Amino acid sequence: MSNKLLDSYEPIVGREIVDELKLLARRLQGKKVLMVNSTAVGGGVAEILHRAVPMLNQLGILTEWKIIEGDEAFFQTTKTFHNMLQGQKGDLSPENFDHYLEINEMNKEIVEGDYDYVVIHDPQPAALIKYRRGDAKWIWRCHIDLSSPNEQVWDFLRPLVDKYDAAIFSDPSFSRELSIPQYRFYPCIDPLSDKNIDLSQEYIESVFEKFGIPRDKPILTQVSRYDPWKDPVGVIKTFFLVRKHVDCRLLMVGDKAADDPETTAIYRQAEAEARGHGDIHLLFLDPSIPKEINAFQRGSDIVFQKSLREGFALTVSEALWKKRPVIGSAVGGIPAQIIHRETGILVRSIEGAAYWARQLLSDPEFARRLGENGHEHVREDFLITSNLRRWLLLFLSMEYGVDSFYEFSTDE
Amino acid sequence: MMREKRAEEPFRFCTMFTLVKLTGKRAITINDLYKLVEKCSDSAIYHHMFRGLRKQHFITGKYLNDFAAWVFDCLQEQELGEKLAYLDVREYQSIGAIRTELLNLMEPYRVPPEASYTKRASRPFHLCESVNIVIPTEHEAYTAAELADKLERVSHLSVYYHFIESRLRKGRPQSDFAHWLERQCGLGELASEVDAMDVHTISIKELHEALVGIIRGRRGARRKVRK
Repeated sequence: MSNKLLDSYEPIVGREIVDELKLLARRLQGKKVLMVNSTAVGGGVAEILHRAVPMLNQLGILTEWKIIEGDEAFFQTTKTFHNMLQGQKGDLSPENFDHYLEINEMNKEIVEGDYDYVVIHDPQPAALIKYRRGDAKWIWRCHIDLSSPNEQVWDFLRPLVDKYDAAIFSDPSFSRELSIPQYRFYPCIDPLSDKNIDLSQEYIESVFEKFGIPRDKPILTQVSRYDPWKDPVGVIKTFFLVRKHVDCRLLMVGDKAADDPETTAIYRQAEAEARGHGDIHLLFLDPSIPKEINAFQRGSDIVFQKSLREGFALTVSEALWKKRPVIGSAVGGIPAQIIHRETGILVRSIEGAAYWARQLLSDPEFARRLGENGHEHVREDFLITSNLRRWLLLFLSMEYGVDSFYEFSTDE
Repeated sequence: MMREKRAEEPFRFCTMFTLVKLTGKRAITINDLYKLVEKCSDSAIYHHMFRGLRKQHFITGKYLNDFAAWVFDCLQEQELGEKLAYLDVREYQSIGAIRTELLNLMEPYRVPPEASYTKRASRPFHLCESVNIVIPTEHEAYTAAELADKLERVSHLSVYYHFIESRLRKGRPQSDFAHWLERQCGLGELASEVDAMDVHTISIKELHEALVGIIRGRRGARRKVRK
């Protein structure tokens, strides 16, 4: 089978990395994998599956991707599941749980088939494990932070999770003690997507011009939804502290989440905080425009991710990949991406973010080094090729029952 | 100048891949960490001691083992952090010996009246384990010159395996490169030069480049990577 898509990553990660993927895949030829999630578009999971599934197929791993169907009530319940599993308060009725199970049962046919590995993403399709048949190994890929879940939902979900052969979390801090083996898979970015692909200076200039943002002074940027946990008001306060000492602009870029009316309210709060300051540019995009966002990140002098609470925050890796110096809060998955003063700056307050922004603006060589290091850090751990390597390794280790160490012989 | 003596047994390059396994276990005080180290699997000790050595780039000023980095940065117990950081994994041929040394170093800090006894870290230590898989590659070398050529084709993970990991797995103090150069090519001096590289002060990427230079007989190849 042609490896055209896979080979297009060679100039980015190096031939030896692509060769190693082929080396791993050689021992898994013809294996059948099923990936199941709840949406074909929107969100990081679907974005990566669109690219990872064809790449696995090109490597000779016969991979299918199926999506469960559900009604509005089901998705409302699973959204509440999501929030409660991340520790928020909430209340679900026995009917909600029953409906969740009914919808999973309605979808049971999608897991029928002669698979070697069935990978279920997130809680929405987690109950499909009840319809497990044959010898397939079942893996639950949990993309959310389970470290301090609401007990009502966790008590319901845990017996289902225990039936899996393995679970995967995005960061050690998101996991908890389980009866099944669990692994760490960092989420990843695709360097060839519109969001991350290399852009010409002319294009970057044109995007800033199109949105009326002069590049006459340093630009500090945060790309994030208008969501209280992303602290847009805190970023504006940070800007005002920096602005006392350094002439600069602030660019905030967020998109309208279709299912979240709160974003408009938070955008209004940010607008009020900005008090019409001419150097603050608040963009509220609908729909999201990945290539333009890419240009905004590339054209910025500093990128913030000043969240109060986070999932993994892949926007950090996106900015690091573009060699930008990033100032991020020490929450969620951000410390995995930012090693303080090596690949970026970790802060815990508005004052900390402002202090370091001034430092970076006054020491461009230090800022450049952070960006360079950040780029290498992302190349090593947070690109789609690293993600593929982890999947192949997991399948291989399950295939051969590897607990801690296994050495293949030449003819194996 | 290249060395051309042909080996009877070729050097066969392997590469090693690592998957990170989570345990869900955490430490927040030095005593918690002591108890984790006392009871955890060899694979967990291995993971936290060797992980930093596999990093392919820049982080040379940081403490390379996770225990030292956490004690220093999160627990702010600098004296113990320095002592843990000084542990050189190449001096131990078993995980058991590393575990004993870690416990010995931590013991005085986890009991009263030491102030460290009550300290809580700013972030928890998350205990993980490594699952390692070694796979042979197609690359082989019969001479030192071929070894240098093939080194340019393999990944940093392969260099890591033959230079660091194999000492532990094979229970011998020499790296695979030095062992083969000495036994198969009669190049004892070159072997010593290769093993004199200090993995604690350079990244695996720099080590990789320097190895090619040294084996090719490039003068100053080792000096070049010093910062």
